[in-house]
Amino acid sequence: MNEAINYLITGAANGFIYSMIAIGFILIFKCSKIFNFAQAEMTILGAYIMFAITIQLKLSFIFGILITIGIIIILALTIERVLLRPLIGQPILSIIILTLGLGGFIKGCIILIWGTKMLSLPPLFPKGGVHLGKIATLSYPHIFFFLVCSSLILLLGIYYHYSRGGLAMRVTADDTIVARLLGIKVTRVLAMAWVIASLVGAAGGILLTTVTGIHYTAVEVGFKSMAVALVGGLESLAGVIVIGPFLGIVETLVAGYLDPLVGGGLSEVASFFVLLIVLIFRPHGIFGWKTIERI
Amino acid sequence: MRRRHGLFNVSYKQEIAIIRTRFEWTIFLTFLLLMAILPELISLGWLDFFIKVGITLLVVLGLNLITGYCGQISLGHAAFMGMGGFIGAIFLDLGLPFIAVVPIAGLAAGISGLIFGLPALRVKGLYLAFSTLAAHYIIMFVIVRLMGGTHGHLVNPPVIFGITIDSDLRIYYLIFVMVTLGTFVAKNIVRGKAGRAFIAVRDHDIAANTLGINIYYYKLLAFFIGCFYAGVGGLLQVVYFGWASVENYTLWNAIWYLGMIIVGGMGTVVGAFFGTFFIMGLEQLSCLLAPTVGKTFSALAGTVLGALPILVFSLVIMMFIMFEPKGLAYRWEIIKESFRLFPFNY
Repeated sequence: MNEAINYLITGAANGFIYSMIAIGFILIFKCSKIFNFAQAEMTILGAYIMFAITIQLKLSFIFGILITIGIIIILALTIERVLLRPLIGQPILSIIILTLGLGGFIKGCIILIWGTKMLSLPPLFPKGGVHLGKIATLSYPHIFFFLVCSSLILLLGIYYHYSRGGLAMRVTADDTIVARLLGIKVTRVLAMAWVIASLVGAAGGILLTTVTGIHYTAVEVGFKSMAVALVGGLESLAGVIVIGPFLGIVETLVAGYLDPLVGGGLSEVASFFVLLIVLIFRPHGIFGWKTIERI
Repeated sequence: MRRRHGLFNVSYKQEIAIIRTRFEWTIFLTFLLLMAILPELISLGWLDFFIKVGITLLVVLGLNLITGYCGQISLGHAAFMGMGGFIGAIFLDLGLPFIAVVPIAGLAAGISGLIFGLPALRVKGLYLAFSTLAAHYIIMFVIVRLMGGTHGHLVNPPVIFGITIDSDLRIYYLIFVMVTLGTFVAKNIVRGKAGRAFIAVRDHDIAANTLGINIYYYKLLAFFIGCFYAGVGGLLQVVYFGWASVENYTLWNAIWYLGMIIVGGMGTVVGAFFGTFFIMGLEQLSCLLAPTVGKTFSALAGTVLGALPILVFSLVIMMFIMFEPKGLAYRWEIIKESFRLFPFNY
């Protein structure tokens, strides 16, 4: 029983990170109908930059965060402007393969600069955790995951629903032409969406890799977040926030109870199983909108 | 395709001929002959390159049917290939003759393609891309857990009609025959009823449906045939390496195959050839260059070797999508056209 509760907590904490990264996908998708497969590589790139600054250059942690944010913002803006803006309205296939290629490029750069060894960030959080009576232990990293992710998600929600920029984003998501008529600079909104998406992606990557270590194969975090976005539905921000912890919990439960039976590895594909089943029965995701197509 | 003026098709047979004029026959036969005597002309290292190109060609031809003709993006093609390779290796171990294993490997991949192509009935575009990506991970999980993938499978050289396929030269000819056959079949599929239906589904599936095309049937058919090709390709690869290993079927391989289609030109059989030769040639080139680069910057040697092909490949893909989205096949048509019209511009 105790371990079940521990699994729930760990899963939910990891799931919140998935939700946070998935929100990035959805923001970009809503505004420009572009789905960024390179997001998976952007998440670990953030962790690698953080590693370069805090370990290789031996700067302080605060510096690390500031510089990482700066580099990620510049990268996001460049990618958006140079690569993806010309592709708006192009066939979805081109966009998918272009972002896959971009992901490969980032991966190649990572291998070129940092090699293929497993690296690790300095431990941000103290070991151990808070004991909740005799039932469960909340380890500090997980508490921190909860805090950071929920506050970031909350901030994003406030931005999206109450600020002028968020309003512009919602209009653009609804109808690009109307947004233009109302005097909104759609290109600026898109750039903003890319910056936000890349930043939350990088934040998620850094958080997760403090626990797991940095390796270029960690892109699967990004893929799982995409699964979260698709299961939740690409139109619904709230759906993603619910689905993320759900998939995270499924993953840890499978890792805890089923993996020993099959010899491991099932937890890695659990969220993909869920995704396939959801896509067959509800193609637009659980909370997504059903789109009606016409000729 | 345009031909020189004064050449009229007077029968249906001429109209649908793949190779129509004597000039085309000459080119075709010269090409076949050249490929047949190729092993005499090149070193062993390049023979290895051509064998790999042949295997990849089969896989890419299949993917071209799914993605290029039917418009259903598949990121799971490496895994389907692995399915064919592993099932083939298992059956070869059981002592079945190679000739019987080829359809088994193809069917195994084809059926797994049918299963994981099922989401294609409900979703398309981005959702399908992601569900095939999920399929990749799930199939690889199945291969690792149920077929002993982590250790791999040793395969003995197969015997065809009393000839043991144990040297690179013999494998080259085996693959040569397979690729010729595969190209012929693919060419015939795409100019027949199925191919026209694929193209209609790709261009607008709802419109195709209103025209009476059963889009569910044709989408699944495309997945089945395409994955059949992948399975056969996977089997040949296993035979060539003598070893079935999950290392050869990464997601990144699947992206390479998609890239080859893009570079070659989607929805053309000749594009599969162009793309495969171009991308594999680049890879070979960067493998040849990497030691020199490594020598110049000795500190980077190991990492450059690993990263250079990925970097080159992804740059090429991005460039092609931005500047030449129709691929090399389109450029090839333009070049042929300008030769036909020479010395005029149009």
